[in-house]
Amino acid sequence: MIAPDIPFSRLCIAFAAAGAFALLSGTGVLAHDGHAHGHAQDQSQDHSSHGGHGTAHDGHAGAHGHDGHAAMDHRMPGHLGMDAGNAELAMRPDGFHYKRGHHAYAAPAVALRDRQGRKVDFAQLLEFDGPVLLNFIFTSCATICPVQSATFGQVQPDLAAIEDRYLMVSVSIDPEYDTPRRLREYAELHAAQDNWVMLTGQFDDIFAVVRAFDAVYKGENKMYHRPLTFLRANADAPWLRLEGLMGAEELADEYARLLNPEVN
Amino acid sequence: MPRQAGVGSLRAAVFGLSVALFPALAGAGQAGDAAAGKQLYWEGIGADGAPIRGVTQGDVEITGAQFSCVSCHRPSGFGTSEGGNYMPPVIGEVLFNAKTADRNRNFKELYQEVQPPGFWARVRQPRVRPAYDEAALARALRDGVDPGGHEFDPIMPRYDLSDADVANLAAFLRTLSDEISPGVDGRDIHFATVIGPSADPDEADAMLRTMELFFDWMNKDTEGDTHNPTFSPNYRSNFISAYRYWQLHVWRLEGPPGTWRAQLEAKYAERPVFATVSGLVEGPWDEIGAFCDDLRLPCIFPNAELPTPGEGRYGYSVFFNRGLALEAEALALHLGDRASAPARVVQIYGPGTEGERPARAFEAAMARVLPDVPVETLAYADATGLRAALAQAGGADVLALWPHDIDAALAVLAEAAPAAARLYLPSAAKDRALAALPPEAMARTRLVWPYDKPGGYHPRKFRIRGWMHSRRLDVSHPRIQLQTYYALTMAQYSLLHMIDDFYRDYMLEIIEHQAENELNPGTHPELALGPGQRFASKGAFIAELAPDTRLGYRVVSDWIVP
Repeated sequence: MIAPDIPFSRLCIAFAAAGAFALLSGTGVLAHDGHAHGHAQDQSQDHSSHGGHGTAHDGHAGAHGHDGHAAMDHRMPGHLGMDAGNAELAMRPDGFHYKRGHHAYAAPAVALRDRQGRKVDFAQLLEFDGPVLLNFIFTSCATICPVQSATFGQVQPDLAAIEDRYLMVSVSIDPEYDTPRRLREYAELHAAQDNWVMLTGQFDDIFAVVRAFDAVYKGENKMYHRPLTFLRANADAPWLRLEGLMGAEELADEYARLLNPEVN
Repeated sequence: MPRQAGVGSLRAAVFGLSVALFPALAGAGQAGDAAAGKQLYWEGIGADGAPIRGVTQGDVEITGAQFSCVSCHRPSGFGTSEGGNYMPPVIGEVLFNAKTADRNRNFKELYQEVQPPGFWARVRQPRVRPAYDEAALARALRDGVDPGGHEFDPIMPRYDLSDADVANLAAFLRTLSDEISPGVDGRDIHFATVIGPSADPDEADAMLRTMELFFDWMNKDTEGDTHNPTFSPNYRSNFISAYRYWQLHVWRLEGPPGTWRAQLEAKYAERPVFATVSGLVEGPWDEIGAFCDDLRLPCIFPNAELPTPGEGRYGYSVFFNRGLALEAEALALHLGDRASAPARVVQIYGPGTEGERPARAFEAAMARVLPDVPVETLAYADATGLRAALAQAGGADVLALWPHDIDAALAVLAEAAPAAARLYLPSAAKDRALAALPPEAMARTRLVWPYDKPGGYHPRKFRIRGWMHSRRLDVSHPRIQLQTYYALTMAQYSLLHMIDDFYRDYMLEIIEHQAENELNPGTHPELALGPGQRFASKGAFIAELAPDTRLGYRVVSDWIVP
């Protein structure tokens, strides 16, 4: 978001300059290890709190070797999107496919509330010894959450056909608005079965979960959240992080591959 | 010739009649029904009366009941951005004209949105295309291809729509944001602020002084920016059209609420405004809210204790919180949280909406939270009635009081302190309770406190205070003045994002996005909205009176969200 109280005029000049630079910036190559399944683009970092920025910067510097640009690049705030990964995305015709990555996330022991209004210890919930799918949504979200939730809704029978002892978890990032009653209405809208748990709670507790899954959104404004889906095979397995929207079949394929890696 | 012409017009008349009688039979190229198109856009209901069906992300089947056009493209039709996805504008003026690379149209997305790199790439791709016609629109909606042959992003559903659906939608989109909203001209943008007849004159004065300074500040900025000879010529040519001088109109209401609607209409007829900003109304907001909804006039963050009951989703009034109804419900939840349920709960309420509305809300919430605890509800009309009610309440475990006139009620309480183990008062009673109650009664008293607790950290508050002090504004009523500043900030930032698309629905959509952006003036723990949401703060604390502290109260509960 823009800085408060900066005169409009100065902003426009600064942004116009930044925009012009973006058009000039080159086509760095994002690391791509050839491991991609289907349409997914695999992100091979073991641990990442900055998405693919590190890789993107390296690619940029390597591709150009241009001191002026590189220096300029580092002065640019990341959110202005002036890095090379950006240009690479623009050039790729299939720039809408999701990214994959494996991470170890520790579930915080916070008390949340499910859609029946019952208290749920989040860490205990995730001790469930079976596959878990998890995402972050809010019920008044207009754009990506309805798609994410429709995907979860549709994929339920497909998942059950592969392995029916699974858990789906949707954590509301607008917990004060998303009361248990609103979550019940939302569950009905997307034909949620009983093993799809929707959680609300105190804002600080919810945010502890958001932070634990490296899902913090910019400016702590939920309107800037990203479409993230997390899968894991069992309580001891790492999480597979999927960043971006996907179809039901793609999600079911990820689930199948997670449970039966030897098949592929 | 005359005869033939006659036959032609007869045919046209018959044809027109058949279309009017059987709008569902109207095919592509025929005039659509904008009202049916609006229903499709807002509710996802097709011309056949059933939810429309579509496929998103390649294979996810959705119906109009799950989401519809308005979800992404918004009430204004200007679209939105979320989670790295760019939802383009679909207003008729944009669709039915060729699209050229226009930086101003994308300005918000290009420079003011916090989004991941994929989004930045997407909005920088120059997607020029020829104008849509109805056949092209049908192809776009069904197959996801624009008239330039470009395939849509996978998130845009491919819909199974009839020709009638497409025609209806086209007719509606032509009406969507088709005319700049009233209250703006080439030089000025007009805002009103509504002051109710029983508003405290000192509070109203503090609010108005804050607003006048802010307007003056904005206008000096505009004056400077638009007259600076060294101004960037590039900038000047692109954005000069965004500047407007802010004009403030104070709408003072008189008489009972039943007469407010007519007064507002008269004032609006005399001087149409683009929105109302802030305001100070002690009575129910209902009449004003209905006026705002009917005129589709944004009424931004009034200082009001009695918003219209209900969720107000997609309404035109935006509030800080649900006021006294929220306080009453939070109290019920607080009682439910106690280790042992109170045996005897009495509530006493004064005349008028100020008493009735929280009393009803408390009863309903208690029935949900503590269904086995009966609530004795006593009404009073005047000081004598209140004394009698207090005597009747006797030594109840819990006594809640929802007065009409706080000063008068506190005067009675001061001379005849009730015997109840706990006395609960609304937040507005804080200062009077501190001044009037004897220490023993004060110790048994609690407030419902829908504001932040002492010591809450809000950097923006420091900044606003600096702004006020440097302009020698007397901060005599901090909460009112800080809330007013927040309302003004929302107006300022929404205009900044709108450039010269002065549409009221668009303003509300930007405010929904902006509300959470760390602009909290320090009055509430959190201020945030979401699409269609109209109450920025959702909970309350329970506080005890603490005359030994600087602010006079201390929070004794968690933040309770009913």
